[in-house]
Amino acid sequence: MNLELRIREVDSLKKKGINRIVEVKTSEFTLSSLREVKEYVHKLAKEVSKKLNIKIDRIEFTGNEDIGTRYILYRFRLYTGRRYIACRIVTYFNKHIQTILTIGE
Amino acid sequence: MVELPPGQRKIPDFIIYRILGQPEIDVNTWRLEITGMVENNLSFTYRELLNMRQIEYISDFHCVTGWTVEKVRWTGVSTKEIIELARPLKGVKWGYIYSADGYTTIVPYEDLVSEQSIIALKMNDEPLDIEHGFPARIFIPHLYGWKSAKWITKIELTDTYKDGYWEALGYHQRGNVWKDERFKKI
Repeated sequence: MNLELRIREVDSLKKKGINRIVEVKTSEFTLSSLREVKEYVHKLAKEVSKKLNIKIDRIEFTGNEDIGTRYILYRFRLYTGRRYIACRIVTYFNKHIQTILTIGE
Repeated sequence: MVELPPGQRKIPDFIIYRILGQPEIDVNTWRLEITGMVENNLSFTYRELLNMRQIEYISDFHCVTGWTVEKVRWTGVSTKEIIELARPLKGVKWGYIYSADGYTTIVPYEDLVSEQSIIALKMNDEPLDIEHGFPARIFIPHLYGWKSAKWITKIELTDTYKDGYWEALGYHQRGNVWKDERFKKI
């Protein structure tokens, strides 16, 4: 699985203390269980470490929810010390369609 | 029986979201501006909006998370009429909407000026509660609720797409409820 990370500035989240997001471009793949999603996040964390030149100490699953009946949103935190990068992963009928990470100030 | 859009379920009342907190609004100083790619920048007071021609209809409200509140009566000013007063320039493609709490969202121009798009001043025959966006919120029935911003202060017409709050977090550029347009494909 190739993961292409694209970082960009966003104005609309600044009030939440977020000034950059990372969009993850990948080929289509299946994530049909939380275990598979966690495995994916561990791979992703390695790429994020390289791209941002940071050490990720810990990954925390913070929850998931249905968005309508076809989409599931999974949330994780990638901790770097006491700070974290939030990670949102969306599947559609268990196909990965989107991963976005948000980076605070 | 009216069909629900795909992936939606009925619930009896609104779930209230205040992702950036609830703003304090002084209705005497509050204004709704129409700006950007227009011949005339316009600014309306609450009283001026109340004195304009009011439209009214009953429509369901669909939240992207999957709930729907049926049969809400909406009263207010036609978004199309108010935007036409500003004389939009050729080439407008998007309406970028600002709210008093710092929230933003973006709507394709054709949806913004669609027949039932409304600057809502009342819900179910009562002025909007502060939780529902007093003094004014936009409502576009065929788009998910995050596009129907509460406490609106400005609509900026533009030819360039830029993410609003939820769009930056991956939600769809348009959000058509009948097409299940909840998230962008990256």
